[in-house]
Amino acid sequence: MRLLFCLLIISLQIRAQELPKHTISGTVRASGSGESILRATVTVEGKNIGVTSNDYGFFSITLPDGAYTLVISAVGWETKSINIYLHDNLQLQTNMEQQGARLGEATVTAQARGRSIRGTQMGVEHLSTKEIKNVPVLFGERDVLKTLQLLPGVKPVSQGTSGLSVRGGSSDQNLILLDEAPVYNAAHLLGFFSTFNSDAIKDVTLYKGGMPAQYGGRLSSVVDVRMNDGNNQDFHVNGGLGLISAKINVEGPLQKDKSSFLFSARRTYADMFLKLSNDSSVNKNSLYFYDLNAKLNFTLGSKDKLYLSGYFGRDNMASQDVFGLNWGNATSTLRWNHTFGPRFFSNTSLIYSYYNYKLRINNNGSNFNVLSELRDWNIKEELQFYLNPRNNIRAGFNAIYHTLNPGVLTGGAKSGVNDTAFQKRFGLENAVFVNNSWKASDKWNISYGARLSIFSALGKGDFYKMAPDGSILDTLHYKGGQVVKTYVNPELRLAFSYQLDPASSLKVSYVDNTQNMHLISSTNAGFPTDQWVVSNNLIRPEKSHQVSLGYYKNFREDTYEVTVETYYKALENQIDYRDGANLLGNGTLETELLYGKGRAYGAEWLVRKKTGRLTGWVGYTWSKSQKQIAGINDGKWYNAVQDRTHDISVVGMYKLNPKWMLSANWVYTTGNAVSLPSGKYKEDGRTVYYYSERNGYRMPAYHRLDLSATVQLKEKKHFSSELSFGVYNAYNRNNAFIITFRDNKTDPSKTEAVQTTLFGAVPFISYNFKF
Amino acid sequence: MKHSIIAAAFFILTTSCQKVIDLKVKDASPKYVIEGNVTNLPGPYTVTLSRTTPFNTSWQFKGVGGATVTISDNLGNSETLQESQAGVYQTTGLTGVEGRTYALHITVGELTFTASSTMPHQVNLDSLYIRELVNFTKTVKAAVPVFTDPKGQGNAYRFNQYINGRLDKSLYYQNDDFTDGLTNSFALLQPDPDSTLHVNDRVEVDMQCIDKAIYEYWFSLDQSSNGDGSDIPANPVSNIQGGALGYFSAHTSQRRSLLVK
Repeated sequence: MRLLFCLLIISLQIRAQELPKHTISGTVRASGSGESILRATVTVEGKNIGVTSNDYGFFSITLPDGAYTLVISAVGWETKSINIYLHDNLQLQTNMEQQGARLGEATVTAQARGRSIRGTQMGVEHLSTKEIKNVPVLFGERDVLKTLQLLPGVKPVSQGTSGLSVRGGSSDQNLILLDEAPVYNAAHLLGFFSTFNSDAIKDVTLYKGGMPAQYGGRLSSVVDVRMNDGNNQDFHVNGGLGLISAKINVEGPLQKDKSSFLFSARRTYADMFLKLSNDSSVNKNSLYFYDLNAKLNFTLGSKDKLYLSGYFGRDNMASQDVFGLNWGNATSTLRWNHTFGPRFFSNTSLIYSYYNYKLRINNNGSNFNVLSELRDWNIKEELQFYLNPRNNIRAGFNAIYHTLNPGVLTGGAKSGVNDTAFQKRFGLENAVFVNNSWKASDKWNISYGARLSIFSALGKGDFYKMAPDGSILDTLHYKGGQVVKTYVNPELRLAFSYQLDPASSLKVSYVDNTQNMHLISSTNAGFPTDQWVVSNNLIRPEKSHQVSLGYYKNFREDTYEVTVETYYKALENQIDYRDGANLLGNGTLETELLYGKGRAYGAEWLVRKKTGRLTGWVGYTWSKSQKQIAGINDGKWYNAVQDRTHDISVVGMYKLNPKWMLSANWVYTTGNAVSLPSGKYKEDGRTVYYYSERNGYRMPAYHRLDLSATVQLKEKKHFSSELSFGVYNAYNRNNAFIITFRDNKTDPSKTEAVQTTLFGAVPFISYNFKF
Repeated sequence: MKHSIIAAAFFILTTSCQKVIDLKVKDASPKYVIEGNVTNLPGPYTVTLSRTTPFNTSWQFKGVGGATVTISDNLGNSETLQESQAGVYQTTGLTGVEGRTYALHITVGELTFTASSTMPHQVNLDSLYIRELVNFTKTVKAAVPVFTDPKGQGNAYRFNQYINGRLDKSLYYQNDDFTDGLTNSFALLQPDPDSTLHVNDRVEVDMQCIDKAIYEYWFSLDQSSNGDGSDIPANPVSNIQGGALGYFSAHTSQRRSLLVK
């Protein structure tokens, strides 16, 4: 009897092991538009098994045959349950409904999961277009980068501008991607408006630390901006008219369900009012920007999808006929998604990115133009292998060919200057990476991987041997395509997460990053004429090593999220400039550079309320960012310009009733580190200021309150409109932008310190429509 | 330049404003400041030795007396300067010659400061004329010094402009990186748009041909040390060794003047 029982058990075991496995795969989409949904979780009800949809909405889960209920959820969407019986590979296209769409008001749903407690990803913030929509920003413009600045660990380099300093890094240390294309100047009008037209944006993800291995090339952050694909069901137009700019967005299907297009445009027109002036010194000035986003996508059968997207933006600043500066980016991306079977997803991208500026001077005996440009050709391949529900492997490569043309000065015979062309610079930036996201146990999730960065500086060009004081000892001539120097840097990417209980976890990560494109900018704020340079025999790759630790807890069924993260970043080969460096119009720019170390560390606290009538967050960051460079500050550690000890932001959005939404935000930050004189002297009656240290002082503290209200005017099936109005800097605080010095007019022996404020209280109003 | 462009752009559109504020800074221990010039015009030439004034106090010339100051040239001539008042030392017999390299040597207490400067060959200031041009939103008059840069990069110039006898406090300097071999057409434009030359002003321009190190000094001073909103405030790149601020310049000097019509 016992023997028979044993045999039965054994045979049952054998039967269980022989159960075949099949894969459920497909794309998660929004019903009504067909837009793919990123980061949707697909879990098996009752079991601790699940996967997440990727950047294209694709997911794949391999299970033993049997009956299951799949639960698909994503932030802002109604959770969906699907019963399936798995006996063969299954293609599942899921259409998700907008949360609360039927009810017409925000409701608290138990499944409104904000973020992954379980996953290893830390140091990350996601912004959906809905969240950006209700935060008041400068002049009422919905600005993705300005909204990111309201989160802990992210600050503007200079208040009012959109250059970002993430965890103490400088503005060039952020990899800003628009549909995978790097954007070099992510700011319009000297940084007061960002390059991203929020109507066309589907998702923004910011990595402050713990960057996954598929990203590389910048030390401090990745800002991954994804555009909408374009509604493949119906045509829609939406647009807006504000105090400063007008915008329009048109999208629709080319072939319903299969292909669609999206086109959006934006232009500022505030300068048109200048033309109404009778004063010729005013009516010939211009200050405007415009941008265009376009996208086409095609589904070619069940395995392939093709996307073509483009961006073109231009800023123009001119003062009569004497001075003109215009600049802008153009990017285009061609991507091909292909599935090699249900577990294997591939994305191949071909990317082109171009940035230039043109300066025109026609005054003071000179009449010349300067053109400066940079061009990237980029090919990227990413493979994702969903081995099983516990292992998700990613691997790929990325190759970018950089061409930099720093300056071409053309004047001609009567221009007062000689035509000059600085030599072009070339670089080949390659990387290969591999990563596995491994669900090691019920409580442990581990992501481990590595990226290898290989950079080669190439000819044609002259490269220099330099003495420590910057003088050139020898010039080496290289032919086109010849390798001047190659740098190989391995990068480790590790992340661990330990689930304390279903609503809280502890995470730790370690990442290395290498950067081979460097922005030479004395302001650190990103002026359009700042110069990008590639690594070469004198300029070494910058490197960073960041360790971070975090604690995450969700309260009250995910209504509240609490995040505490601390980090320490060690930086190598950081660049600063010799005293009196000539950074503009210098053919041998690399001889003006000094190198050293950096360190940045801090702690970030964030409490967020995600659902209910009142939503928003309170964030606090304590941080420090310093450099140590031989030749500056006597070789002692000094505060980086972007060092700001305290940073507080309070953001609230309150849905008063179905028609009215009120929002407010208040920010407080310690001033930037700044160099102030500690003495003075006169030469020939001219006052010269004496500086005994670098960045030993602070600008005054910055704080401001912004208020806004949005009222739904019409909400019909085929037409809706809303009006937004409010005030930026509501209590008119005179925040210091810069402090300058001058002799007192009546007594020149006395010195006056003068503070300039850029913006007092600025009201705004804008009208938006959709049909 | 950058900050004035930013300010210009936004003065058009926004509500920016300026105000005088009270600033408290730490006073550093005073540093020595040296100003020394040797020209090709007849002497005497002056070298001043003084100390910096704390930032919040009124500036005063704090001359340092009792120092030993010598100027020598590369042909072996040397002269010890005579102190005329505390901190002011003057030559008696020295006459500057184009092409020679002059060395300054100062001993004060236990400290030694040295500097060296080579007087370039004179490029003639042929004439002056007045031009009208646009400065931001205003039309102004400014003087143009006419001279032709010799072919071959490496020439540098500095100009002092005197309007009705008073020194214009702006710094004017130029090198031939982009103008090699050309006749100058750049005017001495005062940065403040409200400043202009008026009819009947007497303008005198002193054109100086300076060496590379002194050009660096004036360039870095204008970029970083004149308090008008530099990107990175710092001390000028001095050609003085030993830890003093200031400069020692051997340059040619030529003046021309003009009455503005």
